[in-house]
Amino acid sequence: MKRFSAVVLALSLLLCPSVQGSDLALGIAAVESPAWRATGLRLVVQPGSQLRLDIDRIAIAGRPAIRNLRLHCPALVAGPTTRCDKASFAVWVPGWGSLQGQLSARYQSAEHWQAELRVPHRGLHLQLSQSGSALRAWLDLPGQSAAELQKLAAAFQLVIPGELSGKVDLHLDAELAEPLRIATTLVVHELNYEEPSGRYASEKLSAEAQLRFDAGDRRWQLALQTRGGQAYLEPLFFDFSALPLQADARLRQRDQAWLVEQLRLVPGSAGSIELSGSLGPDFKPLQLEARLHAQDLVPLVATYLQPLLIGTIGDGLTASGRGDASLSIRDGAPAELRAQLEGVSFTAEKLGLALEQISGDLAWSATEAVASTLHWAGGAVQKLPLAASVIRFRAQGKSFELLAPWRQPLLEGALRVETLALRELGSARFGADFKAAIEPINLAALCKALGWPEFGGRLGGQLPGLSVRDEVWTVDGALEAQAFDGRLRLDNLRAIQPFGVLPRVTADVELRDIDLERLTGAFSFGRITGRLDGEVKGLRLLNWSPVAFDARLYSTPGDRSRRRISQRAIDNISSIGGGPTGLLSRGALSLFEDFAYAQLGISCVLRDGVCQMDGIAPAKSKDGQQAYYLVQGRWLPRIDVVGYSQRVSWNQVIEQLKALQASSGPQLK
Amino acid sequence: MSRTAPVSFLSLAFLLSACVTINVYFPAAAAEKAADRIIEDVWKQPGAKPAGAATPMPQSSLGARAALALLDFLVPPAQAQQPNIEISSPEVQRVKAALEARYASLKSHLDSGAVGLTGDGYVALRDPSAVPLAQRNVVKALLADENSDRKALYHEIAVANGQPQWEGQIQSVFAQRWVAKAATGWWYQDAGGWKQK
Repeated sequence: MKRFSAVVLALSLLLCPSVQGSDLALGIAAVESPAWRATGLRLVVQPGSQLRLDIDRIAIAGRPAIRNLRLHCPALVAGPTTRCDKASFAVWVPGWGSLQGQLSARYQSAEHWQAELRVPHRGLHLQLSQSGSALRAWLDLPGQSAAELQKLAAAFQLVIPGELSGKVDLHLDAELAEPLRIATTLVVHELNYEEPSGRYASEKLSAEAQLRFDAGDRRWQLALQTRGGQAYLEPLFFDFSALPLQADARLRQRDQAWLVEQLRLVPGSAGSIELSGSLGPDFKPLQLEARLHAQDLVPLVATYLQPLLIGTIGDGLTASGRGDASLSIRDGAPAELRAQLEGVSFTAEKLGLALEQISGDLAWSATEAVASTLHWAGGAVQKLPLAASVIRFRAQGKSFELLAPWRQPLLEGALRVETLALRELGSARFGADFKAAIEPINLAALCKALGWPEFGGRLGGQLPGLSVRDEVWTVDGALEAQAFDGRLRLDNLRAIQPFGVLPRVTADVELRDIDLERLTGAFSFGRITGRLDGEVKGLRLLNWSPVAFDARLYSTPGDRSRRRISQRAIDNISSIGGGPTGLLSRGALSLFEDFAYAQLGISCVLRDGVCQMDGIAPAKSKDGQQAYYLVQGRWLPRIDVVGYSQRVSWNQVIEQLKALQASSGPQLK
Repeated sequence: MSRTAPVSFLSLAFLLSACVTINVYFPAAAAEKAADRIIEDVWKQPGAKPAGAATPMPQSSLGARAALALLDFLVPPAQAQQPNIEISSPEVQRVKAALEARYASLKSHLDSGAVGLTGDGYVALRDPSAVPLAQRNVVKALLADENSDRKALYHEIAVANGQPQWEGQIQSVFAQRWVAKAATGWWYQDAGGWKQK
């Protein structure tokens, strides 16, 4: 075809002389412009100034758009202004089907004409007015079915993938001139949308959007106000019924980039977010200033932050409180972050960290050394409750450094961090300087918090260093406790994958000179006097429960204190070793309250839920079963406790220990 | 008869080389049994019998097995025990317990077809439109947690057996067994895309 012809009267142009009466008919095979092409035109002028125009097909951009246009003007008024006030028309539009409507038009010249078109059953109202070189179009299209608009758009090659339902009001006011100016108002009512990939969707979404475009300075203006419903823009989920959103944006296209004159988001009464700067052609921020004013962090964090953390260690974050924050992005990279927090509380479920009532200034800069000060009223790490504290630090680039010793009180004592400096955070060259001390904390409270048997005493010590390698955090130094008049020492403390699926803690424990009378008193185990030493090597805790260790407890060698063991304690030791109980409370031995012993001890190698038990010395085997002494008696009446169980379920041992603590005391008969 | 010749040749070769090298081959059949035991517990299908025929062993490992048997016969075995896959380590048990606990929330999404089993032993969102809008991020988080637990499971089984390098093979065995044990109607992924059981 003739690609460059503006309007071509092509092929056959024939005037029909053989008309009936005084009708005048003109048939045109095709009229064509670069944008559209009409074929099968037939114009008939009848007596009484009646006019008929039939067009078989109009194609827009090579696609069939309109078919079977039948236009009838009952009275064409000629003069300086040619006009037709009550024309009627019928047309078939793909996606919409057949339309009938009225048309009125006035024509003075090609530079000066107006037309008005109505399709009552579709609610369509269109006004066109040409004035000089400017054509103004005004369209009102209320109450349209979204699904039908989608079909209509598809017919015009504007494919919206996915399923749509709901109602749409469309209003358009455009100046089709140079420069082009368009203002549209789009109101959607209960719009349901599901994009095939599932990344974008809406449910009963109601909103009003106004969009203005001025081609002169290439300026876009958008105003959006939601009125209810829900939307999902992966990964963000908005429940506009709970938190409506008002958005205003002024953008200018400049060369390949976008200039954001202003972008303001107001989510309900929760606060506001303001942005300005420039974006690259792919909408990546190049230079950006963002300001957040948070009146209520609860919905802001839940809607705008938490979804971004899914699948990371930060997942499960909830926060409350108020704050202001600003972020600067320069040359496509974050340059500065500042925040003022007011009574902010947060819980990071996966990290096992919670802080309450944080206030202060938080600052980070890529290049400058800026100080931050934060204080909080309390919180928890894992199961350990934290008291109020204040921290002063400097965060610059990928490094972090304490500006003053940080003392975090906990469990009647404190963790005092003298030095904490982290370098190259998040990179392979990560390094840390760490020096801390534990000011004696209440051991019983620690045990209680971790769900362990409550070992009394106070635990403290120096932690002169920390190293991190392959997700294993190794703490140098040892922790020591004075407990039950003896000493307890924790060595080789390690945290394995503390932020992984299976956080584990490993340590070696040493017990020296523990006063058994106090220990057994604390655990209502049955009185034993004497002293106890022990080692728990390779202790591994999973979820704060021991899952592996090599433990050995034994009478302190060389101890000269009185060694007596009560009936009840013998019963309890016997039951842990898998033996019978209550034997001593019958018969003559029941006259004795306690017995002298030479030594006692037990060892357990815990692996995969099974404790490989042993005692202090091998005993004479019985029925081929290996035996070991748990208690070796002394003087008369001599009582020995001999164990035969080699492999005992660790859960069973725990249950028995719990039962001992729960029971009220020995039953003497 | 002619078939035994290469096998005995291989056995001889293995015997000679076994003097200096210990070849630890991956016990595929044992791994499959271990996977089935875990999957049955996680999906709570008591009494379910292993579905389908056992996968044929690769030729090389068959040869290696024969050679090992011969070696056992000739030389008193130092560590002559059935190849076994250890799954009783506390780490494996703990991950398994987490998977069991999560199954209650995951099952409905597997049933609805919103979630499917991937070809590499994980789970993925197959049909987001089957999940109500407000639940989509909940499901996303559920899948992220499930997948990090599954990754830990494969890793910890390998570690529990003292062979961290088996992680990939264990993962492949699981990938195949999850699908084999899947309930009718569930979706799984293979080379040709999503398929329904």
